[in-house]
Amino acid sequence: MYSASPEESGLTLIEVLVALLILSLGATSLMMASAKSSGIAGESFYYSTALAAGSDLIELQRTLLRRHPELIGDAGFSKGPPVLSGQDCTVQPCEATRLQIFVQSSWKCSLGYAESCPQVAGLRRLPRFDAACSVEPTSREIRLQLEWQVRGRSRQLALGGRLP
Amino acid sequence: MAGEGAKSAVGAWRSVAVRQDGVTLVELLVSLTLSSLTLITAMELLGGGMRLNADTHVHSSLYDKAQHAMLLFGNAVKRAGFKGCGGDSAELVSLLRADLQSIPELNLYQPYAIYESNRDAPGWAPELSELPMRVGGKSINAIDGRHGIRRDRLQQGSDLLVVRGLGFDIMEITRPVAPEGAVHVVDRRGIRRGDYAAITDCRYLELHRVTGYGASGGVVRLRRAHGLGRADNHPVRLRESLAFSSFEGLGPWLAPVESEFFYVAASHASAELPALWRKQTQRRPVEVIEGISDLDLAELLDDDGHPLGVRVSLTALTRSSSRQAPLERRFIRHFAFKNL
Repeated sequence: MYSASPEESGLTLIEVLVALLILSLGATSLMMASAKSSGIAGESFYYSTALAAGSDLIELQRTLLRRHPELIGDAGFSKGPPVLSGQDCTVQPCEATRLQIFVQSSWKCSLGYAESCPQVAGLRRLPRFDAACSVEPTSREIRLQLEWQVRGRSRQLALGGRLP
Repeated sequence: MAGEGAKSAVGAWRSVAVRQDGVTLVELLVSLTLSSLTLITAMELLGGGMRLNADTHVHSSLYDKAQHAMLLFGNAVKRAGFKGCGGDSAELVSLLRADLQSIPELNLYQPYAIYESNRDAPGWAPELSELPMRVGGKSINAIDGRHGIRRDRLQQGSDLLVVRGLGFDIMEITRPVAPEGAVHVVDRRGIRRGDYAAITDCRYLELHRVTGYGASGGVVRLRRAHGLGRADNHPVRLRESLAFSSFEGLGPWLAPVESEFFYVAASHASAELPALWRKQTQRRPVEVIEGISDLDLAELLDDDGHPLGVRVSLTALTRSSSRQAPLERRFIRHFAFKNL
């Protein structure tokens, strides 16, 4: 009724260790895949944030320069913290040049420069985005480049548009 | 017989037990320790992964709420002041009895309005005196009745945005408009009795109320007979309306008047939970996104008083099982006006 093979034996320590190693490798790969998928979701979030912010700026530039074409020469800006105009154009109307500076700084503040922008205090934007914009007066093309860092890697998004 | 059988079975078991190579106690303990360590590590990794997933889910839900809200704001701001012609040259002619400036739903003179809250004053309730109040009568039209915005449920410190313009559903008028009577279009595209619509040829823009409709021969006849209500068609103005009796240039077209009110108020689900509400022209307000707790609006104005755009800052909040306090996140977008 009960017949056990005389050769039957338990697992040796080496066998157990190899099995555990394989198990650990499997579990680690699974975790890494999960972390990677979360990272990809995060990256897509940053891309869509950058895309939305970039589209907003291009539309603002188009509207502003349609009304004030004389400002086309100063429509570009470089990377770095926003240049604050000292006048809040949401509180009182601003002269066109000041409005242009205010719009650019307000937009840049929303990218994550909360420490230097009182109007966006409390905004937590991780990672911080940086941006540079250029407007070509002859071709009337707007070029915007957004940049941000994710886990030590630089990511970029370039957007373009044409003035009306 | 049975006793012999049992004896031989025990003997066989003994002989197997003797020959089997099991693990020693030390090997067993080492294996157990290693298994435990592996299990603990795996559990920690799994727990970490689950926490990460939960966090990602919470943040993406916040982001989705904000994105949805911003999409609504963006579309509304882009449509503000739209008069069907891509410019603002059309001169508004009201055929209604009411003073348009006293009816926020129809005040096309002012493409948008921001009701800013006073964040320092407790019990803030915006002065929406110009919103139409109940004026009696039995009209079911919200314009003649209550606006439906419950001021007592408005979120303290949160702003209110109103945008106005013509809808993008523009209908070509198939024959000259009679001074008083019907407007003929091929497809009425959802315009119902009681709605407000504008006839425009890009020079003038006449605002009137649709009082009925009927179809014949593939053409929809929108009636605009005068009425007696506060915001019904004015009989004299209808008769005097000759601006579109001759077809000059392109058009005229007919388009519905659309206004949108956005504000933050207590949710249907819970008075403690704020939500973004939207009221469209004559419809009752509806809760569009739960978990929007604050709306801060600022217009960008140049020295001529021309609005360039609106800065919309909103706070989205969500509750998760892993956190005690709700998680809040602020989002900011800048929207440019396209038609102002």
